[in-house]
Amino acid sequence: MSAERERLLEVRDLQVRFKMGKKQTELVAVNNISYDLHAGEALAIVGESGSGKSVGVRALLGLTAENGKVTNGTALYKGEQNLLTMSQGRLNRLRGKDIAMVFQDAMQSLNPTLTLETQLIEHQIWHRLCDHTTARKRAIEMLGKMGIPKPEQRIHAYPFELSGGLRQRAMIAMAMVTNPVLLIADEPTTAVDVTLQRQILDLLADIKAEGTAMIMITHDLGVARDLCDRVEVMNNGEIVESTDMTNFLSNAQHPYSQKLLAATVEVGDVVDEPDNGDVKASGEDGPSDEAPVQSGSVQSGSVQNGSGEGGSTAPEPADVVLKAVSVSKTFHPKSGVVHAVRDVSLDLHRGETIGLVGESGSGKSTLARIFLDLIPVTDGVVEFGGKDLVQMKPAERQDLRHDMQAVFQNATGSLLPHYTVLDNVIEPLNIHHVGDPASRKARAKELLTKVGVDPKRGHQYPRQFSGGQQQRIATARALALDPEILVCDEPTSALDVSVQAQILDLFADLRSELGLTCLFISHNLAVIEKVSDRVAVMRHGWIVELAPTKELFNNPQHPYTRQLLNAVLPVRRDPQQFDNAVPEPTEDENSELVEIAPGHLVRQSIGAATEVPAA
Amino acid sequence: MTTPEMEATIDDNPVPESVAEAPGGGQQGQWRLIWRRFTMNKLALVSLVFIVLLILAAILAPLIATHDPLYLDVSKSLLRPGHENHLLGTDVLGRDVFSRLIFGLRTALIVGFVAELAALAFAILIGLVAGYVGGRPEQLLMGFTDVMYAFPGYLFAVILVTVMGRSVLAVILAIAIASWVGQARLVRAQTLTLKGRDFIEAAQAMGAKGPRVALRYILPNAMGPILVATSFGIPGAIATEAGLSLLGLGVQPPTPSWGSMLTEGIAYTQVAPHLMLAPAILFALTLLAFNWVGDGIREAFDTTGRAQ
Repeated sequence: MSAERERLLEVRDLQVRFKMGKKQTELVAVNNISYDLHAGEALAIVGESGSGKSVGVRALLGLTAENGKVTNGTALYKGEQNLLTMSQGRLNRLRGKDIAMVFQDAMQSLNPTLTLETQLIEHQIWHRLCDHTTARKRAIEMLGKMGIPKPEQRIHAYPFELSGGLRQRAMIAMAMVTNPVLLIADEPTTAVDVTLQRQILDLLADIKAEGTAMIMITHDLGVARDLCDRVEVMNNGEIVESTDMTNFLSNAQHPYSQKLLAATVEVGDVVDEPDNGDVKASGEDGPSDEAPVQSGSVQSGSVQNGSGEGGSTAPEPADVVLKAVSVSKTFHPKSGVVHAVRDVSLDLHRGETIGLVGESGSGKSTLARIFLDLIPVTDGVVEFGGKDLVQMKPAERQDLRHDMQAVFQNATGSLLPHYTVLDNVIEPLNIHHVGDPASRKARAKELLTKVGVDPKRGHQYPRQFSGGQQQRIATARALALDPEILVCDEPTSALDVSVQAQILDLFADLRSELGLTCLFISHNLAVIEKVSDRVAVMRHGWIVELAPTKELFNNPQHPYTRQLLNAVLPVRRDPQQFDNAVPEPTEDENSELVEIAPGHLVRQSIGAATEVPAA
Repeated sequence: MTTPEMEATIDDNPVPESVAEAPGGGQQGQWRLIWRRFTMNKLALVSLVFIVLLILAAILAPLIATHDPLYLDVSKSLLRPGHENHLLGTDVLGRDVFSRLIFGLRTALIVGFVAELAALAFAILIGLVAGYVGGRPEQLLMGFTDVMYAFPGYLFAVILVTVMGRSVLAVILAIAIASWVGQARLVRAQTLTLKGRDFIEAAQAMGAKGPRVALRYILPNAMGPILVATSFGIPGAIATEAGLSLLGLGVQPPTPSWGSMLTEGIAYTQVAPHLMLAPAILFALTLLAFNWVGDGIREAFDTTGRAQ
């Protein structure tokens, strides 16, 4: 109120311990951390999983898990009230009113059985902020402010009736409706796509601009940089560096901070040219066609569905190891029809890596499963080594399985849990009857060594390894049969940045050493840029742009590609201007991939005068 | 019961590099780990020891029994426990109660184990095939299962006893037929869950085919809940056998069975309560022990997939 920068929160020597397992072994999750937060300031607490960043902040709100205990420290709120020792009743009067929290997953955090109305009003009433009518008015106002269209109608919705983006906004509205002094955001954008992440962060930036202090828990330095003034770097339960953001980025002192920064893979790292992509105002060529969902009403488009660009670019047809021609996949869940993959044509040349990028639901994983012959196509042809997959004999298919292997996102889940690590790596050799037991074992040990796992630990089970190690093991298993093609489906998405960097290096080494052909799927543009020779951008099942990596990142043509690139929050440079408006889909049955430069294909509407005759 | 939650809450923490020093290779290590967790539950361990003793007693029944369980001596009818060398007295026909209990134990365990294991084997066959293959075979198999489920279990007992006469085999068959249905549903449900797991897709991408996937990847991972169900099914079968005897559908007298001993004892509760109490207490203890072991097995499997 009076002082310019009132000290809002003083945390001193906070320690949280957990008792683990039957033996109740103690584990210090947070070890004597201290930091200050001033009014209106945004503080980032960054660190990798297991660093205690989340536990430490939740302890302030009395949200320590049952087996955990705050064993030391004070947390003075507004200089007088100690959050750690105050009675439950007093804490309850602060929580949700003065101090609000936003979680990672809105679907998990909102109550699925209550409407937004109830969830946005009840805590206002609890805190006796106002009467029901005012509370309702404020709730609607706040929903509107958070960018939820038609708030007076949406307030009657249940969480499941909202899209992921709206849900996340509703959760923030719920936190903000009491007008808190401090907002704690625990990985608020980790579970969402890049464009949505950017929108959410812009929203949080507005909130911050209005004077709400913020603690942002994140593992993503780009997110931290975008929003926060100060940063606390945590590692193994301790704060290893505490500084302001600009200083941290330019002049990090602690080796761990430096390691974190160095491990961050970023768009533009590879092609070190300033991107001049958004010369032509990115969002403006979108609004030409209005209705976003018009695929159902297309009539004139039925002329040519899965034809046209068939061969796309086939410079050296002899070298094409895997080829998709006008492949479509349609699912028929109970709720209707999902066109997961539409009219995709793609050639995989020997030795190259194609990056497949897109947001969740864009069909990239479905495409991978089609290539892996795990699901049949609805339409189109997949050729492996010049032979149509559908017409292959069972034995040939089995050979295909031998030549094409996969690494999945969830290494923990994709390894056989009841087999030892060594047995896991041996298993493909067993399946394909390669060698004898002794030679299989030797091969598996050799592979484990190659991917950097100590073969002496081969008798242990996958769960006894860390996430990065598990991904190495899964990679070793995929390499056991000396495959020609490796399909990697988000192999690093579940990993911490430093581990991700190691795994990406491993892939780079393996590719150059073994001459692998790779289909690499990721939602992370920076990762894609780092590993790929060519990049295909997918949206709503279509490929909207396909180009050599450098070309795509320097000269993106499709509005969606531009938006994706603009949404990226870099650590080492300023983020691009981001236009909130989602570009209207230009891809539909009336569009086709047009080659605008050698090897650079962009989806464009054909016959721009697509006046849909009102039926 | 706190373990899974505790581990779940600290999801921020990395899996320690080498948590459980599971020795040995292959699947043996897995079972050893489960055994270690099982032994942490003292009640379950004591119960298991008790059951092992029961099994030994059943096997060595002729050596342990003090008298011929079938030998009648009406002059010694309804002796009190401890009288004339009869540890637990005699029944109305002068037969030694202790010896009959021991031989009755034999009947109970044979019925319990054989019926449940037979049911289990059949249930795995049906459930695994239905769950894994899916489609038409699944509809047929599960349709058959549902039809069987519609019949009351005792109906099979009546039919079988009518056809085969009162025998241990008839009782075992009746119980097995009544209990495989639930098991099969469980196996199918487990199979369906596991079929959707990532490691099955990964295995298929490696080229693993049907039988291998079903038997080597799915079944071992499904065994936890199935074993738990079986361990609760055995005491259930023992109780059913007693119930059938009570209805006169059980094992043919004079073959000693706890059920028939109880039935006879109830008539003399006033005069000679030990006739009813002795089998009742042993019966209760046995069922408790099996249930506690079942609890132990469930807990031991509960954290599978997570490091202890």
